[in-house]
Amino acid sequence: MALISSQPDDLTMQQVSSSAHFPKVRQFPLIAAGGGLLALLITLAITAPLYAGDPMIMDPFKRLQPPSAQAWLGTDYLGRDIFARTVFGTRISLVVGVATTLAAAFFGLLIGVTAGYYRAVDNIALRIMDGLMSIPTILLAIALASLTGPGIGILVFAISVTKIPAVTRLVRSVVLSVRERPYVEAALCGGARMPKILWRHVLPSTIPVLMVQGANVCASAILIEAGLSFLGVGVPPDIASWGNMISTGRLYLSIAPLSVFAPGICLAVTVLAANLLGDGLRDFFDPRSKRTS
Amino acid sequence: MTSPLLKVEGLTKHYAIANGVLKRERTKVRAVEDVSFSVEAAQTLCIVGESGCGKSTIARLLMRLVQPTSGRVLIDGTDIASLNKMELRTWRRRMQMVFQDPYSSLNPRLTAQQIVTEPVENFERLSQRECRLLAGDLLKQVGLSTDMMNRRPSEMSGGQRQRLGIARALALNPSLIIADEAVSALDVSVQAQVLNLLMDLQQQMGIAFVFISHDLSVVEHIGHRIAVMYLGRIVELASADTLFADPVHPYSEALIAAAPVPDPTRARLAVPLEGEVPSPINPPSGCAFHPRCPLAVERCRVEVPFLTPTPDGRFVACHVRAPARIPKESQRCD
Repeated sequence: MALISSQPDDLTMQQVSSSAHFPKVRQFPLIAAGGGLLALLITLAITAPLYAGDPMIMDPFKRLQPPSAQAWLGTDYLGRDIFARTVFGTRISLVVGVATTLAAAFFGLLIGVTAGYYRAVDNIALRIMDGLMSIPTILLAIALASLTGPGIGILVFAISVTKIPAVTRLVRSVVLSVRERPYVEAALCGGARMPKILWRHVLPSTIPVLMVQGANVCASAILIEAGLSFLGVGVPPDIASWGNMISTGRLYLSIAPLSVFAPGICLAVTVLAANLLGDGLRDFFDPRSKRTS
Repeated sequence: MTSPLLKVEGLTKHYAIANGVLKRERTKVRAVEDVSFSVEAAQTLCIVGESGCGKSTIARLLMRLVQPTSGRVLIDGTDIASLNKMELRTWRRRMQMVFQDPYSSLNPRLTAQQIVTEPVENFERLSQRECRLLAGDLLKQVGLSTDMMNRRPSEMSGGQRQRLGIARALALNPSLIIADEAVSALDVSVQAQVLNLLMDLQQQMGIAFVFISHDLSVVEHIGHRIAVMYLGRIVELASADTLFADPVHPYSEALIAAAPVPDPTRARLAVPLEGEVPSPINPPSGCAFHPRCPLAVERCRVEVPFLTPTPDGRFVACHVRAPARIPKESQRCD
């Protein structure tokens, strides 16, 4: 790959050869902004215990305090440190976002490639996907939470189940177009077995859509998690999550506004970062969409 | 008499298309209809015809990329339609294909080395070093420098890509290469280089070619025998010399007369054909060529002509120019 960017006529070549080579990432500020923000958030979430206090300690004598040297953003209605809870809330949001994305991408890829390549599976798989698509995420999560009690696993399961169909459809459409390419036929003529054709000639073409769709799934999973926690069916209420912080904080909005604004702003920034990254990746993989906009 | 390398018997391919409001009405596209021919080792058979006459379908049928509706394709006496998946994989080693479009037939993500060694790696494990050596040999064989090894198709010219496609076809040492419009995407000067390369390879390695083209000058240059196709059927099958000197079927005649001759002093004699190629969904009755044929008689409208041997050793399907003397059932080219 080192050869690529040094070629002066690389740009004209690109248009001919579809997605073989990509321009430099640096030329895409959206990727840098979104990716940078997300990287920062991930670092902050991982290193949280180093600089933030314990988000679980309650202190009824220090309820609803304004910002101070001990609690940088004040305390909530149980006397817990809002800064610590916000920082630790990042973990929940990111874990749910990333886990959902991975699950949806994995199963979406698996089902999408199978449906796209094996025509017999296509109709059945797509009808099942239509069925999954019609399930409202929030209702599914509430139903599951009432069966087993709230938890991150249930959340990830409920959100990814409803996100899989979108990924599946995208992957399938890419596979459908790639499988008809002459180079796939050429590989068949050369005696390649099915797994190799899929792995070497079909799967690489699905990576762009997977990455773009993955970023979008991540953003919406974080939002849905916050919504479910707000409704009380997300993570258990003692664990800090932006959704349940906003939910409990809104009752004391006039006394301790930061207990709503801190997690709210973080939520907005995280979702924005994931969306920026998704848009940047789309422009990166498909230079035409950037030029026309 | 030894059996020929490739023998095709009564090969037919109909594509079903569904139309109508409820997709209930099924119509058939008769892409290839009752085609028979054979190719000897180290020989080149060219198939010519207008676009849409079924040439490329024949290539795909020969490689068994599509299943024939009926008919047989025999390689060294083995019917490839009777093979299961694993057997087919091994038989495909004996015949390889060079594709029309050197852009889309090479995976843009792979390097030249990966592209040419892939067929061999499908059958045996190669070390890194063996891969480089093999790729170097193959690239040299097709006149590419070994510096190209790590380039991707997008960093090569059209001619270089087509050479790479040929190198990939050579990788398995095939005895037959099917070239489907292999030079039609290239400039004329590059076409000549690639054609000469193919002819050199034939001489050195004794490879047989089925060369599919719409370009008569290319066919005249490279072909030993030529099959002229019209609407899914072979109308004339003759050696290159006899066909170009004296085409018998009225369609071959018109085709050859219509080819541009780079000689301004030579006057055009023949009257160009009128009308369009009919649709293979609803071909004309009898001889498919009769609506455009200047010689058509009543019999052409009702009876399909079969390929009939003529005294000078060619096969012609025409009621007027090569009337069948034997009852038609027994003289199908089986």
